[in-house]
Amino acid sequence: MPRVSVRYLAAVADYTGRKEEEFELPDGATVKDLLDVIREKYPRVAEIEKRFPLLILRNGVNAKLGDRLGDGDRIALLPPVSGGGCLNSLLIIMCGGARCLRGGL
Amino acid sequence: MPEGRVIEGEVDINRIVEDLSEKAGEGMGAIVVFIGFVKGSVDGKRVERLDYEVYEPYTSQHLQRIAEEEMDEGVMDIRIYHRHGNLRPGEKTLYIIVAARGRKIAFEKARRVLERVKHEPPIFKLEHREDGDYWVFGDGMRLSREETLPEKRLE
Repeated sequence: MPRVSVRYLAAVADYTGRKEEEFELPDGATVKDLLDVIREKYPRVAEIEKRFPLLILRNGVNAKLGDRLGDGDRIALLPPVSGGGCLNSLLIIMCGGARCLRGGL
Repeated sequence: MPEGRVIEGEVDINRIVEDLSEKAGEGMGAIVVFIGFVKGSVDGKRVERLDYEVYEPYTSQHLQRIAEEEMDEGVMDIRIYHRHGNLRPGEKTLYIIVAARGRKIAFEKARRVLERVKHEPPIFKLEHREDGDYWVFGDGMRLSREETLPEKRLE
């Protein structure tokens, strides 16, 4: 029975009320099976996709709903990323010298 | 060598430029340095703080991958450093340094790397403003935290 850790990042953690937890699933369980469990545990998660596309990473790379879970997998549910933005910027020139997947929740 | 990673403090730009100058060799014609800062005002509202959340080690791995993938013809070196944690207006948050054969390549590559950093690695932003807290998604879309936060506090 695979035991996986799940990380809820940024705004997703607001909907679940926690940042991470572990789940034990039946042999052969997929990413979609895990999402169904999470959806049942946190009904508010259904609100997420009304707001933004939910992204899923499995061990750091974009996951597919049909991916089989392995023992020790690290799953992350995340909203759209927002690196870098909201910036004033300074530009100097010196011369001479998770494909994103909608979670289906 | 191209490098991309998450950092906590600031970086010494002079040291990096010197390092790139020494390693890039005689063929280098330009270094472009992009530095991003936290804005003090958004939509006419005062920004008090910006919290950056990352997902390590994957965020750093993704930044490293961007730096390596963008090392094409005419580009001598690329460095990407993204800060995380709680930053206040005026603080530096993102550094992109590109060494290239000429200024045109260096400018264009720095712009392309910036766009990838904004859209690809798992980096998330919570904006604390005088009128409330907002999650920032993608290219500036905002969602008030009053709509996302449940009654109970996070564990």
